[in-house]
Amino acid sequence: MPSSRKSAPARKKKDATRKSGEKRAQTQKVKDAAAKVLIVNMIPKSLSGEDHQDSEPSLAVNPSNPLQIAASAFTPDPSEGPRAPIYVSADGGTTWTLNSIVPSTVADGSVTGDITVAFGTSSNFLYAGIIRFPFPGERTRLNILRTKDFQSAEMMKVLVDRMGKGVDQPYIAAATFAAGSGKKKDRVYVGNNDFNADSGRTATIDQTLNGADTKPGFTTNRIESRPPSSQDGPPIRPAIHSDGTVYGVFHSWRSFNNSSGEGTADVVVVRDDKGGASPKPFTDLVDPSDHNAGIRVVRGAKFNFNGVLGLQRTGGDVGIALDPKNSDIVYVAYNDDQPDGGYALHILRSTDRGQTWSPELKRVNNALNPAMAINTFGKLGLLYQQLTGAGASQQWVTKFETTTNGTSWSALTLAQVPANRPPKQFDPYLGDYEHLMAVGKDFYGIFSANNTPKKANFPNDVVYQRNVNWETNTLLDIDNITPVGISIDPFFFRVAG
Amino acid sequence: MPAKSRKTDPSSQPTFVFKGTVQELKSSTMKEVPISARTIVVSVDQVLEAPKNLAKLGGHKVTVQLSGKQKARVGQEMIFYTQGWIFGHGVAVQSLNEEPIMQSKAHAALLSRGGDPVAHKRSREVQERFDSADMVVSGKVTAVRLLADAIKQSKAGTTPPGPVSEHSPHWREAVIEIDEVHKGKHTKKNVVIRFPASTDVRWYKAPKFEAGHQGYFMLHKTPIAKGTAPRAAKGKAGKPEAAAEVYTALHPLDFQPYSQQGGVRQIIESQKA
Repeated sequence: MPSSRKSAPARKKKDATRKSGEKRAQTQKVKDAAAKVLIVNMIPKSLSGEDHQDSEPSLAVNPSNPLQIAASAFTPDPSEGPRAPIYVSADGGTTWTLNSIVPSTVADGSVTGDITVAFGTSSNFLYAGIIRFPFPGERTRLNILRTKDFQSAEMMKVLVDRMGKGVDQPYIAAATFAAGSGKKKDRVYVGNNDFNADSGRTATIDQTLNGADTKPGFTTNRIESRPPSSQDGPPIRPAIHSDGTVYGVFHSWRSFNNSSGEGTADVVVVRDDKGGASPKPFTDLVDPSDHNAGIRVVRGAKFNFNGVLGLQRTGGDVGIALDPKNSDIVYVAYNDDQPDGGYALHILRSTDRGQTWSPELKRVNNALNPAMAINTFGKLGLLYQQLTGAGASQQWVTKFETTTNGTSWSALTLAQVPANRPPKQFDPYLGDYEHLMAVGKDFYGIFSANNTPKKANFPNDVVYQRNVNWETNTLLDIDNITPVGISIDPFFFRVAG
Repeated sequence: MPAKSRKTDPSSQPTFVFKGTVQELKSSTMKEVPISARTIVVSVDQVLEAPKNLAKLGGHKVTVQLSGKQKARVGQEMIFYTQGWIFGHGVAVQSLNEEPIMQSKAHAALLSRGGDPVAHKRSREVQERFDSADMVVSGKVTAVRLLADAIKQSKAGTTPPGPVSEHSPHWREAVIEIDEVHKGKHTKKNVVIRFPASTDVRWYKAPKFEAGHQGYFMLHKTPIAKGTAPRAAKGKAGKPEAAAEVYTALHPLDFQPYSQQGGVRQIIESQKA
């Protein structure tokens, strides 16, 4: 090689020039990314002293006004009052406040159980699905809530309150339909694991075709067509298209060992072409091999309900995303246990309305909390959290990747933080889910992570509202002097499409 | 209206009590707060009762939405009994009641008691847990065990006895050898209480008992689902009763070790005095 003939000082000079060039290129790359990416620690300045584990976040951008964003996490009311808070932004996610408008109780910690939020497309109504505290024993209590003004002091209105034998992990989606019989009406779908279902067919979607009505009538659709081993798994995720198509994906348990927590599950996708208004809702996809409703995209995925990845519990995740321009195109994400003890995330795609599925498009080892969305350019966004490294240097790496074809992926690292600090306060450590959505060409997401104020932990930069000292990598209390211990905080991000 | 005197619904209780001076009327310290005739800016002169997150607001200005029971004027000193509202760059609270400072014994006592406002709030909550408890005992945990139904299921096979949820409490029973009954009636030497072993967000704050734990237990009767009745509550045929109540201690304040001063120990001692 020519360079081998140069003198040692010349080589050194060239190396230095090359390294300097690489550094400049790297700096430019970070600057370019920073212009494209906004990451914000959502804890407000007035709560600089807080050290709660604010895990399991969800996010709702108002499509008719993307400056308005609501979010949720396991964050208690800072004043320990009778309502739990949501996070509110009126400037596109740059700054955040907490507004306590979710029903809760003082005795149970001024917080909710699982909570997810969603806006109607043009109605400005914010909806929420929550597990409301308290509930006795295993009997989790579902509430579906609504507010016309998420910035007001008024408590969200309870639209549905159901407990019975218990209803778990409500996951909400909403859309205002632009045309057809449901024109200008909010359709609201809440995936949940309802233990009141017969024969263990617990995968359920509660829906209303007019969520903004004074008294919206919700119907309960059992979407499991096959008798499971004892019940279905907790994650049931709906996805809506403006043409009226609604998909659902769930973890259909095929076997379960109560002693070990181990089991197998099919990943099942259901579809309703009339927004759930079909005579037999969510039966438009029929599996050709057993002629039952719901395509079994994956058969016999292994899971362990007692499993962990780092400090985060596992048990089988699923996710789903639709192309807003073409409801034929749908992506599914799921997790399974690997023979080597790992926990793998897989991405698949259908281009024929869920009838047939691609081979695996992407696989990420030791990753969880998949959240996906497709923007108006047909670009898929994928958010996940991956455990990397070993021992004391183990990290949770939160990544956002995009693809337009399923084969070529572009990745952004949003956070890379120590995985073993802070200690776990409770389960789930990061959350059993996080959230991603697209409005127009832009992606909006939320994740929870170790909040150590260290620039190296956020390669694409980050903005903190709470008091910090970046030189000493220390959180500071409201007095801007007293150090505060690290904890898990929610982080909002926006990526220009 | 001293905070200590209230024994009503906790949801109607103030959680942030402070003495403040009215600075501005029809105003706010935060752009997110809709300004109205009831919103005023107040400087916090003295925090009297507060959760940890609000305890250091002394010297800061906050926005107060008045209850509507009182009119305020600039420069007026008042005691505000509030709950949180909006938390951002600043803090806005909603007043449940506000009182102009008066030369009364109650106000004098409240303003001169000093100490930690977080501790004062906690003391009130301990009192409320004591008042709402069905039985208060002191004693020692002598054994912790699985529920009879769980043992039976474990022997019988691997089928779950009920719904499998990440929020399952994983109930355990703790047997307490009673030193003394301080509230309620109980003639037996032992009492069995139920507690969740789960570390899920729903249950992690509940005390997790281990054999050897000694202290004060504030016990609350709690209805439980069919099929999970404790051994003592079962009929002769061994069938679980349809509806039963068990003692629980689910609130983090419901157990206080002997080694800890104040709290329920102080309540009990003051009752004896």
